[in-house]
Amino acid sequence: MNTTFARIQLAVLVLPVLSIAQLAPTSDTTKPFRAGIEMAGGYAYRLRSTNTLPGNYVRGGATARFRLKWGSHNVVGAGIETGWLPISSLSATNSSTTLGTTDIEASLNAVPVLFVVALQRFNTQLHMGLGYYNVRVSSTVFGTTIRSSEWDFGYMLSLGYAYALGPAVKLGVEVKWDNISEAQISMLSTCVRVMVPLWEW
Amino acid sequence: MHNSKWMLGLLLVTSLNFPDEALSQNSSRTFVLFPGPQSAGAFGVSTGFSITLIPRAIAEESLLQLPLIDIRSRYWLTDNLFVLGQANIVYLTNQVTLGIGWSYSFGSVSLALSDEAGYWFGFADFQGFESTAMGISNIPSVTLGVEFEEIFVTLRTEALIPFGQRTTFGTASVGRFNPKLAGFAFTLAVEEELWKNNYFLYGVRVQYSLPLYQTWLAFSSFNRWIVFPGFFVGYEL
Amino acid sequence: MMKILTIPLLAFTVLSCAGEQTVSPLDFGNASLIGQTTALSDTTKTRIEGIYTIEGGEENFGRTVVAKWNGKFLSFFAGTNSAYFALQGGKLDSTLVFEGSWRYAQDLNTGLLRLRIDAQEGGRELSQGMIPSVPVVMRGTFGDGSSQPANPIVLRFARPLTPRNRPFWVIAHRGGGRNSDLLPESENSLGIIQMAEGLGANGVEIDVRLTRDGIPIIYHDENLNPRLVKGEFCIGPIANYTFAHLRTLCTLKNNEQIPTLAEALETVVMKTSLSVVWLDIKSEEAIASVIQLQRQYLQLAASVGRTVELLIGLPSLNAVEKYLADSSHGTAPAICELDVADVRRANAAVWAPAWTLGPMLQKVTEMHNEGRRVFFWTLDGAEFIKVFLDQSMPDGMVTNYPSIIAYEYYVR
Repeated sequence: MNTTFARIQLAVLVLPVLSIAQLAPTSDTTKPFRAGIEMAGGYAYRLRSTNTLPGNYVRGGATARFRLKWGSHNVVGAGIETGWLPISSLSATNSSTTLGTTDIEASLNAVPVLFVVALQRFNTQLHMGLGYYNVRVSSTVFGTTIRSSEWDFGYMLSLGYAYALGPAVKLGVEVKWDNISEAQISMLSTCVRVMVPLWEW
Repeated sequence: MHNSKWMLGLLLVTSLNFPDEALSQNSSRTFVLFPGPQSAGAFGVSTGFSITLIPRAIAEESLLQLPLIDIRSRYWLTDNLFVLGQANIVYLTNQVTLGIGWSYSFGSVSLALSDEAGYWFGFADFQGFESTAMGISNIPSVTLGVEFEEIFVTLRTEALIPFGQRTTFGTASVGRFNPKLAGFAFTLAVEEELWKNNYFLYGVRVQYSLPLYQTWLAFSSFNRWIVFPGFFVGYEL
Repeated sequence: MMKILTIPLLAFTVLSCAGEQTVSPLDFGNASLIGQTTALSDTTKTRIEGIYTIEGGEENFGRTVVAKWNGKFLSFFAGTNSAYFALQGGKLDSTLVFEGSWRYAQDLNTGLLRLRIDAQEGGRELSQGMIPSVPVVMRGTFGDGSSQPANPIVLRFARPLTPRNRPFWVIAHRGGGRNSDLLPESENSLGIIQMAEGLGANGVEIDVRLTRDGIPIIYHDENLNPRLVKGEFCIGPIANYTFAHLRTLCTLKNNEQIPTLAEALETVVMKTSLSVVWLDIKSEEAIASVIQLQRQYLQLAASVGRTVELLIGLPSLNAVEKYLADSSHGTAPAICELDVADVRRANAAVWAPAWTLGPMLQKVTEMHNEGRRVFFWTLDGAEFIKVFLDQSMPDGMVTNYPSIIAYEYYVR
């Protein structure tokens, strides 16, 4: 189930997204501000695993991120970022426990809600974010499934490059580091991203 | 780390636009942290928030970590000699410091030596608590400043020397006087004009020390040095 | 225009720092002599207890230590550096031998320690259960960390422990101490319950919660978190997890299983000599189950000749209401943390006020006059402990450092 869902995520998220515009400095000084959305898809990898259970353990998976960002003719922007961050999953059969033998299915994911600041120079963007991650787990042992979640503080740092395909179109790549420090989870993601302008004023 | 609203405020502040034009050398601008010498009679004050993050080993799930009101000021007695003070207030935990320092400039690099006396105090009068505490300390420091056009960066190293404290609980009290070096703190801060004539300061402060006044309510008796990271942001009036 | 990125980058670096330290358990390994010894009688043990003066280890342990048997441990409690020794011992011919470790309770300093009472310095008479005709002298060595001990130390018997007209309980918090105290066993584990007596405790406080499928377990926090557990898929409220999930996916920090309350009480009754257990109820829904287990294990204790009190903790008004609503509450002894009025309403055997309210001698006296005891919680600093011993009349104290309370109490 986890593998199938991951494949669907990957298929949806790495497809090129249409209608792209850039959040780049504008030469129109009568409308110095613009807001837009960035969408990214790629793969996330857990940097430091704490798993000790035997089985088919997968660190990370297909990830998606969405940013709503405000920028100006200056190089600094700010916005909000969310998305889907798969952290790890485990699948095991006939695992021996103190209570007997069981199959195990478990997955750990996070939904970030971050306030981000963006710094841009030429076509390179540096994003820094602080906020909370909704870390959620689903696990099945001895035929019983439980779900649990909590909000944990964390932060993000990413470096990206975007290439202008037209006057308002940008396609880029990004390397991102998420650190959910309160839960001791650290992830590295690489993404393809596109940017869509929404408003100018 | 249970309170991050101030962190979002910090990022909001830092995300504001930089003006395109470079700032002119502003000799009338009085900074609160940057150690570059100023004219005699110059006075600077900032107001904002600060927080010291208490490690989970001490805070566990129960200790609420609150941001403190952060007020900093500096007055120049001569071109190089200054007096400085700071107040961090949140009722439960508070500290005021007052000190004196000397500054010298080497072009765009400045150096200051200072020493402050600190007095901290706290009040806990809610369920399960009828406690107050107070203590005194000495905080010598070395401050290095580097000027980058319109951004003024400060790196400050403090030695933390508590002299003693008194704790009251109900009708009883316990005091001790045992001066000792209890840790160090390192501050990296920026003062800059984020929009016309509006200067902000923001930075991080990492304290590596025994549990000090910030954790008095946990009555922690750990006898080992622990890292306490912290942040602050302020608006220079 | 230059952008200063170092501050947020430094912030990220700082926030990433999360180093953890541990103190590994120490033992003599193949060099141990304990396996060659025979057990000491209770009479001998009692005659070893007392106040000793120190030569050769004053800088580490001060000038005076208290020697006290707790269960199978001979513990020494020092007034300097919050130091203690936890030793096991026996007799080897006419010599008594004790081995174990010393530790500063509030930091990471620890090491091995070996002591002996030679035949001519009291060993011969003690090994025969007789009163020594010469002052007892313990000679030995102590070391740093796991290295073999080489620093000489001499303990000279100064006087016996002062007889007391009523018992006093040193109650170890969370079974023996917190994870942040870096003991070799996790808080609220079976291992730390068995360690508690060596630390100077004669009672423990443990925290009771309920799993999703209604199994009482011992665990402090509301959530599974890196402070207390290992397990990649262990996050969020522990009440979301069935017992099977906890056993399969999670362990405590030192790789122990999260114990059930039943396992903890079995350990107390069958593997220790602890005489009080404070069952700190964190999940009020657990009260009915806990009352049943309390009755079951009191019966077990009686059947094996153990004297132990299992006290239902009442930390809130809701807990008091649930306790009173249970038809068995009249035969389920309780300990109440609230005001004295609530203690009376619940007819609790023990009042347990927070120490931060002060010594409250008048209220303590009222409780005594009603036949109740008073345990203050949670006291860790020696100067605070002395205030309560001087200005109040506590029957016990809950602490993360049983050795400190043990020293301050028994040295008087």
